[in-house]
Amino acid sequence: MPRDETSGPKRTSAERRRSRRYTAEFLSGMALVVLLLLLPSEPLLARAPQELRVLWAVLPLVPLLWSAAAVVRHLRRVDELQRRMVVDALAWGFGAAMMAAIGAALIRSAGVAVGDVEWAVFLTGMLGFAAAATIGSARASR
Amino acid sequence: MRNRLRELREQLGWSQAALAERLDVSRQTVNALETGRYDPSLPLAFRIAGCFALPIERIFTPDEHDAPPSGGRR
Repeated sequence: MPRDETSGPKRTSAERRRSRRYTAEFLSGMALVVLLLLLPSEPLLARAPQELRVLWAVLPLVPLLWSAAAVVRHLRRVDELQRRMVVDALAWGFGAAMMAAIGAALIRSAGVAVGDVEWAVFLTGMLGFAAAATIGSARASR
Repeated sequence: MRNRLRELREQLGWSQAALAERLDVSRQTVNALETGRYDPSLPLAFRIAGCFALPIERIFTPDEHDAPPSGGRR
């Protein structure tokens, strides 16, 4: 026989609503980022002035900002424990990205070529955030 | 902090989700409160007390493992 605490739905209707809204807002921004990154811009911009090329290159920042704003809006909508978990996870992600950046800089200072590490730093931060969010959520659900 | 949340909820025959709906928090938060993994803010503690129509001190009691007000762990 199921225990009482698990006999109800896993999430409340308000939670599901908030989650759907966050997913839609966040993923729409990220989808646009990916789309802009994958668009074959070389043929169009081959003879374009450098200013236009730079503008095109940084254009994914706009939907990325939209996704970041979605996280902030989500933080305002969730309850106090969930907010704390997301903020903790963001702190872990930030720490992981900083460690990766400093690690790469230290390796470079030793004379070793580390190449373009920007994406590695970004990925480390995102992975740190995701891991911390997963662990925090699992702990709260135990 | 110790609390009687699970006991009170079960007395009323509510699921965690039902209590979460009443408190406007997630089911995960109700679970974390019941298992003592999370201590609520004062506004949420008052909301819980209101939900069960009991004074806060009848639901929450201090525990020797509570973190000191200055933070950290005990």
